[in-house]
Amino acid sequence: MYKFFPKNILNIKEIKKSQIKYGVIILNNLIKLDPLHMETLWKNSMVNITVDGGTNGWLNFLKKNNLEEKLQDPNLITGDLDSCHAETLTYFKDVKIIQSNDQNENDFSKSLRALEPLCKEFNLNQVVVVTDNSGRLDQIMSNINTLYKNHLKLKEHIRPAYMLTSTELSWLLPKGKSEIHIPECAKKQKCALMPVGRPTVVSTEGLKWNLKKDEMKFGGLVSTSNKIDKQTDVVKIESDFPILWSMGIRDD
Amino acid sequence: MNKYFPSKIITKKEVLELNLNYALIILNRPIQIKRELIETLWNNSLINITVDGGTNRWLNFLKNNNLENKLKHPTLITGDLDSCHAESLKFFTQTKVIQTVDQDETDFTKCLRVLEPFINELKLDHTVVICENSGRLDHIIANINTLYKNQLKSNEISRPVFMLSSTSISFLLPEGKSEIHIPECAKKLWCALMPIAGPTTVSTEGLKWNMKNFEMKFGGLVSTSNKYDGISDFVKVECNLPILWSMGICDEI
Repeated sequence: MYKFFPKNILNIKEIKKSQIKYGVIILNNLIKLDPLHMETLWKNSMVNITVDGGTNGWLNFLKKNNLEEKLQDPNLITGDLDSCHAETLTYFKDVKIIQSNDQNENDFSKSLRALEPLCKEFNLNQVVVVTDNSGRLDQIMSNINTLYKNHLKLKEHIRPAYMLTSTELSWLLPKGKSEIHIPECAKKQKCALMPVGRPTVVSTEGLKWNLKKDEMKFGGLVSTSNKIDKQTDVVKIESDFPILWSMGIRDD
Repeated sequence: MNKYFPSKIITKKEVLELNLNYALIILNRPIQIKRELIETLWNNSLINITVDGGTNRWLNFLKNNNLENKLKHPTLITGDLDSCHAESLKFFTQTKVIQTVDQDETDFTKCLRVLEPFINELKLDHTVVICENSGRLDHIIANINTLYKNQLKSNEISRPVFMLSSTSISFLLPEGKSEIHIPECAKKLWCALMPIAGPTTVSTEGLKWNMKNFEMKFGGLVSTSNKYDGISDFVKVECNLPILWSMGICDEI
């Protein structure tokens, strides 16, 4: 049984008071999160990594919100750096860079690899990945694959990587039983269960359209545009393989 | 053997010259494709369908480009219509509305169902769907599921469905052998093979990183950000299950 409390990364008060240690990875070059939310996540994280073009995105965010001298620098800049502007690298000249040109892995995977020793050092329990679904289908799929690979690597030690956009939060649920404690912002919002990568038998409680040992697969049942039932505080899911879950965090 | 020629869809000249029979569908995402290409695709299609909020997107596109009275109205508006503005419905007076309320399927899936009787009637070769790969993850995934569901239909009514965005074209390759012609302007761009439904054994030719009887799967090899070998005009793919192909396309029309 694994329990998820997304309020620890979605709610500003909860982020500040939570004892859960996490790392932040900035993947994309346009940060659309609410500025105070982004600022709070950054300040309270144990490790902050900006990835390639995400570093430009971070610098733009700082400038746009007058935060240049107010927030700590990233701990690391990673990626192949082919999208990172010279101006950005100059600004963050004191930040450690781990450049990797390996074409066998995407930038997201490389950043998780760079984060690995720091997870141990700082006892991190989760990773928050600031991202966006912006245009390239293969990059979206590549990031989903990274979630699966990361999950397989960690095996029994569940350390979720939460993909956070301005409107939704997505992550891979492990096989077996999961409980998702629904924060206020997500109640009555849409949600989805997506068996990306293989057919999966799933049961749920707490959704508008629940599943009962239903086989989910592409070409058949993929539960998109589902909703969290208005009475629900905790969504329960049981699946025979890891499955991708997504939930709205504010009105579209 | 299935052969695909994306240039027949993304190049204005070829669309006009070849005069193929196709359907055009507009889904509910911002329309970011070059105006000239969209106009050409719209004018030359045998049936134009706007789906729910896609109808609003289409009306906005017309207004932003001063085309309100210049292009024919959609043939059909479909969907559960919970996102379609009253103003859009009012504007398209010549358009038949088929409201599909079933909540077990997405508007896009239902639209392809509505299209079925037209496939033989109009002798349609393929369908082009205008949709950016942005926004809600579950909508992006749902559209892919629609492609898989469409793939399962009988040979009589199953036709290729091409998802067209401003930067890419994506479609499902059926089980077996396929050849994809690489348009000249796309040769330096990216491509991808994604085994969304399950582990798939794949062989390829013509890619920078080819596969030989390799099992592709999530948690393992998913071929994204691939490229072309620089000498081939065609990519050849053989797979034992349908697999999703996506490729970058260029701006020139």
